[in-house]
Amino acid sequence: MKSPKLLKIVKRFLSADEEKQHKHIECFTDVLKKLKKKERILKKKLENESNNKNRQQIKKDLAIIYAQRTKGIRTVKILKKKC
Amino acid sequence: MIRKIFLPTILLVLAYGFWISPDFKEISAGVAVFLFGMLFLEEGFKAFTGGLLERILAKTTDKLWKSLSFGVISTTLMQSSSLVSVITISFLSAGLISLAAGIGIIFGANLGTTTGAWLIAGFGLKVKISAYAMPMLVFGIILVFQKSIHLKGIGYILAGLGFLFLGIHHMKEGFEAFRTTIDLKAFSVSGYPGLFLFAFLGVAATVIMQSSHATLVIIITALSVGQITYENGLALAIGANIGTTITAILGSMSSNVQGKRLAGAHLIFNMATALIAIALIYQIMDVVDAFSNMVGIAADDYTLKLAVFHTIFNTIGIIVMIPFINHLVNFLTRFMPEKVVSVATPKYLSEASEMIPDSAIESVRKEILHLYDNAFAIIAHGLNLHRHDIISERDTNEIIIDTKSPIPINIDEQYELNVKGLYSDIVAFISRAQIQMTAEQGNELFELRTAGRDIVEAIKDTKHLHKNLSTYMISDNPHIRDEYNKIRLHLLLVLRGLEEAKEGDDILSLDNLKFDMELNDTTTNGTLEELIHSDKITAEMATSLMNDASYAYNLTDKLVQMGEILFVAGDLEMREAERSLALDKDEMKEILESQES
Repeated sequence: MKSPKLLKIVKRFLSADEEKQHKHIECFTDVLKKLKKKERILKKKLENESNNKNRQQIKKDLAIIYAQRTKGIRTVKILKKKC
Repeated sequence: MIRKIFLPTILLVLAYGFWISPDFKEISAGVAVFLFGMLFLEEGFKAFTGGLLERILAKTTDKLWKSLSFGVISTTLMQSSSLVSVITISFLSAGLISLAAGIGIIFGANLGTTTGAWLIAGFGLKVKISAYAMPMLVFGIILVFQKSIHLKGIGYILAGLGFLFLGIHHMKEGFEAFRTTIDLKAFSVSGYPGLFLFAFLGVAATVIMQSSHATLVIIITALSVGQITYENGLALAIGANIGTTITAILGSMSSNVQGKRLAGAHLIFNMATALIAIALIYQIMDVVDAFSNMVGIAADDYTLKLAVFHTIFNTIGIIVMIPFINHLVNFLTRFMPEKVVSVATPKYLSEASEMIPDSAIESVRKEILHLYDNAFAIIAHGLNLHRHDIISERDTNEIIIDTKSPIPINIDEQYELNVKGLYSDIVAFISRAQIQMTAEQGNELFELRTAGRDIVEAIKDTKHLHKNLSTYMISDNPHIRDEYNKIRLHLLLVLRGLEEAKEGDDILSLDNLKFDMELNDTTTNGTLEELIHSDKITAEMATSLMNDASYAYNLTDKLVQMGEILFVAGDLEMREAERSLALDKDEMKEILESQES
């Protein structure tokens, strides 16, 4: 994530009260859980897929989810540090 | 005509009353101060409706017992069934709760409002409440001048309670002095004629003051000094219960048909309860006596007995009406059918939802989804695709190949007919609604407005694309035909992906569309150069393809951006979390590069 976008999230996070900060972290954790579940399903699908074109498509989807999760985990880590 | 003379007549009658009786003046001033207190109290609770109340309401209305309990508790806390009913109407108008849940809340609110009678009878008349009113007013007004919205809200609530107490005090004083000059008891009427007459007076008083609390406080204070008989007091309370529906009826006038149905349910419930109470009044009075004996209320303590009566007859109403809730919903749905309106007329925007920030945001989101539905048809036909094909599971290549001729469409005309007016209504609603919002809520509205603009721009991109797309998709040159069909195929996948993301509330899946958009950009992936160099297409075709590829790129970009904002429901924090994990263009390029390597 580019610094200005992350900075915006952190700034909003810091200006919120404690209850809201926890809610923010909780929301990110929920989204990460959803992504993890999606990733698991796709990995299973990839194992059973023999068509090369479809395999490439699944690999691409997995790469996107991986990037989204990495971004989310990084954000949660920063927010937890600021908490 | 009647409307025009109504207000001056009331003012003249009051002025004459003040002139001939200082006691009447004190009672009326007491009512005015009491109503002023109610206004303050409502204002105070509005400060806390920026999310908390709405969140609780949304979570606690999925079952009938929950919505009933919510109605009882919230009305007990706020001491205003009017505020609860107006908020419920706004939620219903915004489509956040069902009609059955709304009816449950209104039933509960009817029971919750009876706690007011207990407070006035049990506490208000027993102690010198004006002594409490003064410090409340002072502390309240100091807090009203604070900057913090919550402190301000507490200030309004404290001052509101202070004014309520002060109003009760003045009414009590007025009635006590009144007793020495006129004996209202002389006008009492016994039997059923008296019941109907005083019930009618109760309706009239509540309609004029728009507060059953104010009527009840007059009844209880008059009863406490023996100005009316117990029986007539009960009839007045029954009338007040019918009259209180006027607030919901007035509130529903500015709402959509759902709000009107709820006001109808409120009126039916209160009328039915009143009829039961009048028909069984002597039996209910026996139950009140038995209950009063049991809990130790003195036989001549008519004020507390009135509170008991108020609670019992509302409880009977709820018990009788609960089995008929579904019938009531069906009846109201049939009796007040949804008007068949033009697709360009707003479905969710109403004055009722404008007042409550969270309902206003949800109304705007739903209305922009409506705008998107209208735009979807234009975009699909502009790309020479049928909507049913897009949302089907049919093979995408097959759909593209099967289109043999362009679909005739005048995009400008369709835009004017189905989009422009609706978009203008949304923009106007947003500018009105955001006045009473927090910065965070204002940001959300800003995002939603951007989504609306993206939809409009997507239609404009479609318009630019349409002409060449229609020409080249049936061209004799197979190379240019293929390229334009590739554009159509890509956009078909985008529209299908958007529909899937909309149905599944999964905006992060839209990143796949962004990725494909970067991958399929004909202007940058070398395809165009190759076609020109090998003389497969003319220079004129190449220019058209270059421009149209750019329109297709923009169209995808706008639609995906719109989807990221629009297709995520839930509270503000959740929406923000999901949106912030969506990948931007640079992050997409990084994945693209890593895939290529």
